[in-house]
Amino acid sequence: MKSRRSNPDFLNGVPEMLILRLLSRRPMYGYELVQAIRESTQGALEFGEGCVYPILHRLEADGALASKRETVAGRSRVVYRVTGKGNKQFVSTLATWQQIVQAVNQALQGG
Amino acid sequence: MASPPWFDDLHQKLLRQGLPPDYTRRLIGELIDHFQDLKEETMNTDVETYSRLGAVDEVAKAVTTAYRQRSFLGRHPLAAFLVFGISPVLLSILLMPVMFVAAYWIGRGLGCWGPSGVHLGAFGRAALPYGLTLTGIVLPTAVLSLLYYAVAGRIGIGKKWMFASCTALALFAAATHCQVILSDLAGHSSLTVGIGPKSLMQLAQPIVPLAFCWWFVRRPRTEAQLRPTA
Repeated sequence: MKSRRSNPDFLNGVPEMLILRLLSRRPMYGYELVQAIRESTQGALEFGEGCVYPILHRLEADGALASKRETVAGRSRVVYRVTGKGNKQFVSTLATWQQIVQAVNQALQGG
Repeated sequence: MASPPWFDDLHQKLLRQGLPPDYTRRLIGELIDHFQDLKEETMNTDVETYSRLGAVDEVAKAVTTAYRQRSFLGRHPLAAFLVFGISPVLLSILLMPVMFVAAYWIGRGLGCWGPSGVHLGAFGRAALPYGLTLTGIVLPTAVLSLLYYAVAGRIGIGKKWMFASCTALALFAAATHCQVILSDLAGHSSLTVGIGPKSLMQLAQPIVPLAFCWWFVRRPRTEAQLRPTA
């Protein structure tokens, strides 16, 4: 089986941030979420789609997400939505991320 | 539905990593839903669709890592070492006197000894050191092996820590000895417990934790656990 190209380790924490952001817009099930990540990043993130579920489950265990089995388009799905704790986590992660991006950009531009 | 090899392979890998069967069933169920969505939408071949899900090893690693990060012990290896490598020995040391005191009172209740001295026959006297070793060393280490296995399995921390706790308990059991001196005179009998080689019987003391250790790591999963429920 052809192996997929995966993003490097420095993206640790980025999938979680994206997931929280996308789910804060509307609740989604796993497949929808993967499509949303692909569309919103124009395919820049390469990952095995199966790797999204452990992240969802961990966020759920942390209380950042809640899940519920619902019938969507005639099929039973596990739909995820962001909790209040998840929103706070997103705000905090985003602030850290923006600081890091700014600092790295400055360093790369020699400032 | 019958699960294709990709899912079976992943399920078995996760169970071998010590992840709880309930969790792996849930995950496989969601992955099967995802696989069906992909098939319906892309009309790809199975091989292409599995490739979109990711390599089994890649997904298994992501699942195992994410699951272990849920618990404090999974995120902090030093804490896991203290809990699974050190605390079994400390608990054994605490349990040992409790078990000896319990054995004393049970023996006293059965009339084996009392204020007037020891009332045991030749067989009882010969068997007593073995009985006390069993009660104070072998039984606590065996029970603790089982307890630590259950805790490690519950938090899905992995077999290496199950192995660590069983090994620590086995080493403790092998290093500990107890010696009984019985006297017909009241108050002259004694029980000595120590660490270090004293008798050949000590070689048999770690058998139970070691057997548990071997069984935990090697035991095959049942067919029911390996088959995902989708």
